Amino acid sequence: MDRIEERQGLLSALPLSVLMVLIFVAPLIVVAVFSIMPPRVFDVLHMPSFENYRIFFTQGYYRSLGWALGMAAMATVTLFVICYPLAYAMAKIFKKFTLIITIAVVVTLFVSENIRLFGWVLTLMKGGLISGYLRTYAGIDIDGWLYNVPVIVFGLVYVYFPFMLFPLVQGISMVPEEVRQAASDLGASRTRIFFEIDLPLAMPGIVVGSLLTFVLAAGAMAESKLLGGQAVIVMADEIEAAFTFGQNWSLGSALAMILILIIGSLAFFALSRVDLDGIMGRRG
Amino acid sequence: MAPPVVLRLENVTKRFGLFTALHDINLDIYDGEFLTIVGPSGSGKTTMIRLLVGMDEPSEGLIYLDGKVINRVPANKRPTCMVFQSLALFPHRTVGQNIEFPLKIRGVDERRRRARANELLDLLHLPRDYYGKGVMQCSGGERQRVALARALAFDPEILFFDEPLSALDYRLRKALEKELKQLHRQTGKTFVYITHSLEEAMVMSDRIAIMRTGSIAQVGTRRNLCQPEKPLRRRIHGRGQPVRCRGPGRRAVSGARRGYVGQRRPSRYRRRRARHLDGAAGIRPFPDSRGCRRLRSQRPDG
Amino acid sequence: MVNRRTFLKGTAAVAGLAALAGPRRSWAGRENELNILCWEGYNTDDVLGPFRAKHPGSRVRAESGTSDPDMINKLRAGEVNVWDLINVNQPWARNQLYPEGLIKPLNRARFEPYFDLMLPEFQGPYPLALDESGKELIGMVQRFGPFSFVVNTDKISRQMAEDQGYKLFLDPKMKGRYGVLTYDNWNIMHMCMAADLNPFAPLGESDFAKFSKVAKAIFDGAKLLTDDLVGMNTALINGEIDAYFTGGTYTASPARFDGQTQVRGITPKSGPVNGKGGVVWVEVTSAVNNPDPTPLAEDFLEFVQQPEICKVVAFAEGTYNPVTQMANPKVMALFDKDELDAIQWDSLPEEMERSVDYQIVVDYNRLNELYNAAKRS
Ligand SMILES: Nc1ncnc2c1ncn2[C@@H]1O[C@H](COP(=O)(O)OP(=O)(O)OP(=O)(O)O)[C@@H](O)[C@H]1O
Ligand SMILES: [Mg+2]
Repeated sequence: MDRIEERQGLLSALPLSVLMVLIFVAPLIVVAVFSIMPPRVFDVLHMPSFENYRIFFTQGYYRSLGWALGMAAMATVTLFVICYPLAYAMAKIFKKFTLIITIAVVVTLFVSENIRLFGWVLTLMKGGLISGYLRTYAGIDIDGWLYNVPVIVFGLVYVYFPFMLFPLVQGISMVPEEVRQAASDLGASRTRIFFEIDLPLAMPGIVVGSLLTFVLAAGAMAESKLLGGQAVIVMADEIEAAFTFGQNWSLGSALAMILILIIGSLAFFALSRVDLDGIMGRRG
Repeated sequence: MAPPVVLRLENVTKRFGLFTALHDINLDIYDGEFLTIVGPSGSGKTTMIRLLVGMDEPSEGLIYLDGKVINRVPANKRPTCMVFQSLALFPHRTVGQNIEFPLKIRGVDERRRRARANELLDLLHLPRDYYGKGVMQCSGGERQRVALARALAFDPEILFFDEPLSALDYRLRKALEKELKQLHRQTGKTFVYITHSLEEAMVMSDRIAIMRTGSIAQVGTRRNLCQPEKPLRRRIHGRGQPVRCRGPGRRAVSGARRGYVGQRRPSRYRRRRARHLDGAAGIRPFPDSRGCRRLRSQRPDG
Repeated sequence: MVNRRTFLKGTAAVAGLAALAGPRRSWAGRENELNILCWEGYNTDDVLGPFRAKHPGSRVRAESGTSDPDMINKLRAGEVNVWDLINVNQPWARNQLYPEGLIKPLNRARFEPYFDLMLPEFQGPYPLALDESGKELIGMVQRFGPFSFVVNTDKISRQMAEDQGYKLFLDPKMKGRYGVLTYDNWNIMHMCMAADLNPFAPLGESDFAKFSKVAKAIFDGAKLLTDDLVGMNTALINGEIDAYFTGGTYTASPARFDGQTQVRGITPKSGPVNGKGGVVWVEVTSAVNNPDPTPLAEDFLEFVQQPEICKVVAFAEGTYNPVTQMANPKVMALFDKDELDAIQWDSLPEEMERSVDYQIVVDYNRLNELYNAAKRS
């Protein structure tokens, strides 16, 4: 019985699976194949070579990778620290106000990322909104805050805020209030409750939120371009440069593959350790 | 001489917005007694003990513990512990970790924790190899024992039970009632026990408090309450609860209207049980319909 | 998931592969269709609107790319059967697109007369609009502009900047006072010139070392790097920087047209390429070698030679640029004083005089590696 049903399920899932494979996996395969082509070819009919991967190590591309991953990690940790209290309040304390916050955050997503970042450029630059006010009203002359690493991290935090906030709200709202009360009743302080109850039970939301922000931030480049003035070059920049000005598709593909592999295995590892059914609301 | 008062409620009122859940409650709880609070659904039983363990604050009135006002003392600083109606086990932990939780908070070392957990498993007739079992993999009845064990591990002065047995089938429930009573005798602690069923209250308690729409209608020993007081009883049993139903098709109304008189209880009780064992129609195997519902919904795959 | 651009590239490549493998589209129905891949300007309604009005019922679509290689990638990824016209800078058409068969020659008899109406530099016809052999006409020219670097003339005089040329950016006093506009292909060319090298000739090992040193020095002293010309101009105007490396009328004109005429593109007086140090870009619009061609492609090339359209192209949204047709008095009459000032019309002839054509950089690949390494450090 089960077998037949399983097989039927498999069969009916087949068309969609094939479509998914075509849409998601095929481009990846093309990138993977290109990455083992010799440098600067525009088709895949050449003898494979791992030259591009060698270039990654010999020409210092790992530094860009390091910056991309490092800044993504910084942004993720910062976002977690900022979003957790807000998400907690949204899930447990605010009632109607939660909807207002949600709408306010979602509305910002309707404005393109570049425009929002440019707004920050105008705010933070020398003679911009902040330094202009400071000069006029406080007589202080400052140089603006742009073009350094912290401002890039700030940009990442700003842009990926919703991607951390909403999974966290979802995760925290999965923690039953009575379980927290029971822990308190059994003598646990607020800190103990946080570590023993809140964190583990909200973990699916925390993992999903952190993963989303990390993955997006690691592949981001608008922040480092607009706010950071490319104070450091990130991996996504290198990939773009290789594909365009470098006219070296295979190098670009290899760089992209490296990023995809690192982030993909990270995501795989993280997701295999949390109960995704939980966050989809299927817990019994 | 009456034993000393451990907990005292003085003109306690609790409001949720405009709704008054508890109205001007006055109640003394004596050291070492087994007090049962009975009342229909929504009468404020849970609300009251939430105030007593410190999960909520009264809107008005004072709560004394050993003569000191404790209105603002948080739950984790009170020597009280509650077994929730929903049990509120830690779903991400094993049976053993659940039971050991209060000991871990207190900083008891691992070996002693483990030993105590095993003692409690034995006490509650749970197999020792359940120690490492995920608590969500346990049956409803097993979970209730785990919740009891966890509360006992905390070793509170006063233990509150919010209908902890409601999800169990009739026989198991009776057995656990007996065990609870025994536990009470062994430990000498103060037990405050909430139930829907007056009959459960009658079996177990030293004293019974009857609640009705946010206030305490009557408090007394079993004997005191045994005076017939039909209108009240009827209300406690609520509509639709087949206290005495002689056969199929005879609905609760008639039974409820008859009520019952305390002295006749044992015989009625025996008869009912016999019917249950016979599988006779007309009497439900579960003591109340709420129980049926809850048992089903607590199964993880429900 | 990881990088949208990568995926787009990948998808484009797959689409290309699929297109190569799959059946050819039918030959019918393309007389009324035109797809243009261009630098911003040709894709505005001001340009396309009148053309659509002239060809009622036609489907005319234009998309702007963000760089020459970005657009060329599309053709390389197999989109030759999507596009009909491509508009890129002069060396790409002649040295890459045409030899690779991605574009095809135009009807020379039909278009040659238009070159006679252009500025003197472009008459005859303009050599880079022809293929290597000089026989085939491979594109039409319209917008152009000198492109070297940009200064704020309130801080650095035009005189001094023209005299110093690219050495300005190697001056220790300029450290932290300039930005680098990351149009990488231009920077590589201009960094060569800053190192007294001719980028259009083959270079040796010692030249590469010189290039590396200069590239490092320029990136080191830069306050900011960006590929966004608006952001760069903003930084220049608010005093965060006083100059930026690689820029010209193309990047300065939007600020100048806003009244910020202290922003000025500079062409050095001298340099290592036959004594010249400026570079001028000229857009070449070519017919894509689409297997399913449309007659509208050549019609459009002819259409944009009309004086009114020339003016619209010169002052389309984004950036403002001189057009080769400004030799024609009918075209000139359409520009007012502010507009001419925005595109530095006053100094254009001398700047053109001091500039060489944007050409293929012989050792681009090697220089690109060194350039990227310098940028990263
Ligand atoms: N947090 C709250 N907000 C608003 N109303 C509440 C809240 N908690 C309880 N109430 C209301 O107070 C009344 C008493 O609730 P309580 O849970 O104490 O009833 P109960 O006697 O325990 O009932 P049951 O036997 O069904 O558990 C109910 O009408 C309930 O709706
Ligand atoms: Mg209750």
